[in-house]
Amino acid sequence: MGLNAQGGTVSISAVSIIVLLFSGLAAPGVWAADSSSEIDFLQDFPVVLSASRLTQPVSETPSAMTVIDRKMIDASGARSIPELFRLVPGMYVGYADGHTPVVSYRGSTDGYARRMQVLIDGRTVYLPPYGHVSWAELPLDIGDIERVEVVRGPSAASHGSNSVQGVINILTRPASAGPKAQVSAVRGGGGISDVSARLGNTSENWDYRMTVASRSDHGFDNHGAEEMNDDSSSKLMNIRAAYRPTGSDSIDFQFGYGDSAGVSGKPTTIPDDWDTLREAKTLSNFQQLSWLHTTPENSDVQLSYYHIGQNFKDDRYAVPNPFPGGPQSWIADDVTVHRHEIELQHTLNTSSANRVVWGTGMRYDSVNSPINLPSPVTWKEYRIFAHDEWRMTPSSLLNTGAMVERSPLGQTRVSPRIAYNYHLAARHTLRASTSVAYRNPEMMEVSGDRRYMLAAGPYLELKGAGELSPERTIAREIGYVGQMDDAGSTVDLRVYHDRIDNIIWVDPVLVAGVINPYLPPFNSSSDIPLSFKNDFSATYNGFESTFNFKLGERSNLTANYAHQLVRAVPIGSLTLTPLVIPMSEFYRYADKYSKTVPLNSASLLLAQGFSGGMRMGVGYYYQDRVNVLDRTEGQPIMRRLDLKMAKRFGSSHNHDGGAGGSEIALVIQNALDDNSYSDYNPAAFSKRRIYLAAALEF
Amino acid sequence: MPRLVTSLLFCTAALLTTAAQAGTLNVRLILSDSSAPYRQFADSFNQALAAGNADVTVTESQTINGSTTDLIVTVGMKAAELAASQTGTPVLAVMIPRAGYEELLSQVAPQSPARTISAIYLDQPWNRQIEFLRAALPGRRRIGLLHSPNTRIDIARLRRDIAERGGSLVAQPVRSTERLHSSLENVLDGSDVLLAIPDSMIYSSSNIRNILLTSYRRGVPLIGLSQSYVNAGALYAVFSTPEQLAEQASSSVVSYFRTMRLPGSQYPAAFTIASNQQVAQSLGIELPSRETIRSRMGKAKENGQ
Repeated sequence: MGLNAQGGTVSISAVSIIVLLFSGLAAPGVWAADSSSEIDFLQDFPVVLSASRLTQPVSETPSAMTVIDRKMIDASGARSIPELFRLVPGMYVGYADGHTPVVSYRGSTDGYARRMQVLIDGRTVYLPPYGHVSWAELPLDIGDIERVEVVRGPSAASHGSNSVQGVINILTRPASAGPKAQVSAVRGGGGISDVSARLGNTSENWDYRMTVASRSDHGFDNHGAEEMNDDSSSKLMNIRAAYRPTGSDSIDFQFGYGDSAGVSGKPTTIPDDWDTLREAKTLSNFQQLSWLHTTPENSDVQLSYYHIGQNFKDDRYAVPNPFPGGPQSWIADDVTVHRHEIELQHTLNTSSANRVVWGTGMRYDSVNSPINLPSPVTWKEYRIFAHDEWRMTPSSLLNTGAMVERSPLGQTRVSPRIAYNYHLAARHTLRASTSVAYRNPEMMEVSGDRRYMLAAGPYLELKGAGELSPERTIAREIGYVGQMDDAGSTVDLRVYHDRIDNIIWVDPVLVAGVINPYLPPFNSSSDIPLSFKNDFSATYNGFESTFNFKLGERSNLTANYAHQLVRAVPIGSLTLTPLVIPMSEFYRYADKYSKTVPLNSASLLLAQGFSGGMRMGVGYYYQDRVNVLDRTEGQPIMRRLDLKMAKRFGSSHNHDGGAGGSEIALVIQNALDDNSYSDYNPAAFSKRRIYLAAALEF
Repeated sequence: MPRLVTSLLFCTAALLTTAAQAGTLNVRLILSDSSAPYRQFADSFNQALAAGNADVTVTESQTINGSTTDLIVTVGMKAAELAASQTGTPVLAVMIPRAGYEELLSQVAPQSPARTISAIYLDQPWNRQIEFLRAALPGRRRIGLLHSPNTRIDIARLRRDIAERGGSLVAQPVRSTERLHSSLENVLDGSDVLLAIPDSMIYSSSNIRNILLTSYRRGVPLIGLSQSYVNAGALYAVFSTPEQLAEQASSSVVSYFRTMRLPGSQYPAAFTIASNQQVAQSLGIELPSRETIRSRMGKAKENGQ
């Protein structure tokens, strides 16, 4: 800024005085404490969205990803977590009974689905000895879930081991996001009776949220002559707290406790029947501590530790044989699991175009279960991982990564991944990726020896193989992610070709000294003693699509469709004598394998808001016939319609500041009663369920 | 402090040669605080005046009263309040929010209506902010805004101004800090972008985490008020730096020297656009270049007039 002198000399004296004014010095009464001040503009903030908190947008992830957010959870009307996965294209959700959900991707499962990595806030929740997730017994209420991210494909470099078919990553509400106080109750048909209470608060350095909840229902309806006893109930407590000692450090603490009971079996007089009517109990708990430190250079270091403890007790009597009232066979079916895991992760921006995440972790599992394992087993596994996200040009991104793990069985494996995302235009992205992942054999598959004493003698149900190769998947895919309009409607398409080798499956076994059901007096193959084997390889080809239409400001429609084709090829050779076990038992799975995934499956979810605090959710689900491997009967076509109507009173949607409010909702699940369908278990028969939910906030 | 010492020496030398000359304008600069923004302003202000080939004189003084002062330039609210209440000397108040200035005027004006007082605000004019949002995030028309009982904003007028430009305002009151989260959830429900306002009850350093994390998870970017907001995780901020304000203040001072009149109170003329590219990428938002944004804003202004 020049100063043009107009005649004479211009002289300006600038007196620089720094006046350090204390508040007491100000003229009294002139300023109230809440007056506008420049401080509002000049204050310093800590870095909140630091490197590790910034996630990749769906168009830049190295694998196909489905996100289920709070709004979708709400609109779905789901009462339990597994129901949500029907909203993932190609994902299978079935029920062995009301409290035993089976969630798998790519079919090929039994009652113990174990080919996905399942994480809750970074805790791996599939547990030994079977490697499945006890969905109904997790100490987590669906209302505390912030969002679910499902990686449809292997992702070892980012999510750890066991991700051969994919990753379910559940993120719960942060401590700061809890309502101040809320109580809710659900009542409905089929014995549905849930209550929950939430409490939360935030302050400068501390936040916490806390939930106590109880859930119970009578499970599925009986189907014809088949009797289904699957009442269940669970109580849980879940606490999350965050402490921030400094602007660059935060410590997150989580604690959970669950106490669940589930009925199974039926009254029976068949000699030596061990599936008698009883109630199994599960106690679960976890503790988690993670410390996140953000450095001034905007790199994050996170150190986390957690422990999961679970005790499952399914003790029962087998039917006395041969005389009622005679000596009974007591089956002590107990499993006690402890998992400890520690992980260090470092996220850093090495340049404005490159971000690296690397780290190391160790997991320690111990299982004590005399009925399943001859002696207590402890397993340790170690891993290091690194992932690099390189923005090569403004329009292209290269994701590379790998995990190196040393499995409990001493095998060292490398799971690499490479993905290239190219933005054809601002709203159109193509992705090509290939990745490798392994599933280490589970404890039961290796060392299991599940046997119990019946009146007729020692009975062997499962026998570990002793030695198995890990399952290996090689996945290849080409995807497209696009935005269709200004409102943000999106489309996500992909075709894939995956191959899983060394699939471990149950296989007949002959063991001396135990009952052989093929010999008198059994002469039956229904309860064949089983072991595990690297039985076959399978290839999966398919197409998946997700459309998300933003129909209006308060209207959202999500449509998913998946088309899947599977082919399996047996590997290995006959090791058992066909004379003792019929030939038909061999490779029976390989023949049926193509039927283990539905050829077509689809889901639709409409979330619609109206004025006056009304909301509606409509979910429609379709699944072609599917024949799960360990079931003789196939599962017929499933068509399911879920409806939800909710009305909010008071605060939240009428702009008066959210000071309390209430909500009431009516949910009709499987509303098309003529489309009642039988589930994973043919005896599990889904009929219409209606329930009413009410919530009150303070 | 070497800088201060140097400038004192320099100024003392200047004083010896030119203090006695007629036509000298004695400007007294009062800072509310000695922290970085105020220092930056003072340095830039001195530099801008010095660059005008003017002979600069410094009279050292610890009090408001003292040696002859023709014009007081105050930086920040506290200094403005002190100068306005304790002297009758003309005041140019800079780096203060408009709301604070108007409150100050309402205190001072009744006592001395003929008082010469003017301001260069720290906040950006609303029209500029609205034009900026339109230029920088054209697809995001629903502008969310949290306000508290402390907020000094004419919501109805803002709603009208936004509607005139094809957008809509989603204003949500926050009754207390404890209710912040539910208010935040509500406003995010209907918004494409969240616009921060100067309100320390809402945008405090303890709340900013919650606001940034929640809005980020919901895919709604925050538009902040400063570089610090952007560093913390806001997508954009439009603001005027102390340097930019100092330039404007120095030209007002020069104008005063020539005309013995202060320009009317005004918004900052120059502004800075800061953006967080990493947050943008993570949210899948493509940011236009700053030049594009400025040229779109310029066009909108031409069309509007």
